[in-house]
Amino acid sequence: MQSKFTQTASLLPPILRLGFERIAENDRDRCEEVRLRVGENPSVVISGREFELSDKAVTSADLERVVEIATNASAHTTKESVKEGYITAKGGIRIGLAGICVPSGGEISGFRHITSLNIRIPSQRVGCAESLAADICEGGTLPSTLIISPPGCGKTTLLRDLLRIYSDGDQKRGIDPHRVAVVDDRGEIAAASGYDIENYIGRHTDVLTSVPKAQGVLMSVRALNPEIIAVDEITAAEDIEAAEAASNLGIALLATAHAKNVSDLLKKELYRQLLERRIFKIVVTIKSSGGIRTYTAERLSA
Amino acid sequence: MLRFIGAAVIAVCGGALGLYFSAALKKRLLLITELEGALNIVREELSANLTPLPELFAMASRQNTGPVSEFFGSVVLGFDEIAEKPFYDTWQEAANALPCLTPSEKDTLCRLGRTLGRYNTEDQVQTLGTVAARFAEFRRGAETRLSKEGKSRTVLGLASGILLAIILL
Repeated sequence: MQSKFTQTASLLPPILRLGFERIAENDRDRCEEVRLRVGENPSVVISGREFELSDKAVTSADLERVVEIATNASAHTTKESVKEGYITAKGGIRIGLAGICVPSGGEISGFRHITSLNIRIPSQRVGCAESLAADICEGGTLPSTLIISPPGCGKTTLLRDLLRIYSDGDQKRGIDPHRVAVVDDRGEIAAASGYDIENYIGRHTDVLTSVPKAQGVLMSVRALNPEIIAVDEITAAEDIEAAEAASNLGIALLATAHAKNVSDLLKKELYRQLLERRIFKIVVTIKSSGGIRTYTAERLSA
Repeated sequence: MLRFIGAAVIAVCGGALGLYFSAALKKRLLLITELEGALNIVREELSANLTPLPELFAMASRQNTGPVSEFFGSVVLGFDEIAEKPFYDTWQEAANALPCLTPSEKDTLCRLGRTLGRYNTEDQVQTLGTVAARFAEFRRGAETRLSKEGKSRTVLGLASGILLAIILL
């Protein structure tokens, strides 16, 4: 299987790829994003800092080529995700879009001109959640857990490894194997393309891709008999309703949300509701400093 | 005796040449008809299912024969190199490789490549419809030409052969 760095390089037309491939081997695992802005030099974000890749400015034709490569010349298939401002390329690589949108009936149907792209390079850090998984385990199983951090701190990476561990089980750490359903609305957790799932997320995991979160949770409950349901980024009231419905059936939830800490979570109406409904028993906060991440688990009062 | 055999051979060759030019007209008509049909099916499939282009053209290649199948097949192969070669370049190359089409017909097909794969499905479907309609006109033109010139080419070939044979005798 190709590394995420190589997969990202393959999305770039030759003129941009050259600079990207000159990145030193020992920096490649720390690459987080490729930023392409029309009229500016292309750049890469490594451990939170942005570095220029070449002194040749990006053109709008370059950006169109990236979209063409990422969608296999089938941008019309990405209409739903474009409305949210991104497309997902092979390998679960999310490409954020900016530019002049084409409004249509109160929504966006596409982009007339793309002026910048943010290619987020996913990372699968197998094993990053091992000690955390053991810390939060209760009687061999996962209590409903919410992972929080500001954007870009690795919530999806942690979620991915936690669900892998709980799907496969870990006898040494007293974790039983579980049936896990993943609602992967953006295709970033599992990176499913066709029949292949590119990120390893456990032997007992079922994946629903490109389905709205709330609907995906309810479909999982009805059809997949999961013991754990994993979703990335709870952002809407209906997501909370669906999560509560699953929780009431005894299904554990593993989810993420944007917040610096629990106090920050409580300041936001949506997340305050989430905590008030006592769906989650544990909150894991991720802190990122100089590329190093620390995970702090906090049990919420009953 | 040998002279008469030779004359007969010349006459038959003349007839064969006439048949060859007539067959070329039929071949051209068949190609244009298949292409028109394929474009209509691609349009319907795209409109109904928003099918990705690689799957769409793989389907078109399977459902057709000869040069039309090869045309869509080479476009499908081009997706393997899309990072190196833009889709339009692959499309244009494949369109220009089609036999029997006039430059104007090739140009019509090439222009379709600028619209395919864009965000707006409606524009793609509309352009496919427009191009299919143009190919329907080309088909009618080819049918008319075949009906007017098909037989006359065969007869002309045979007659030329006979005349030449007589002159040589």
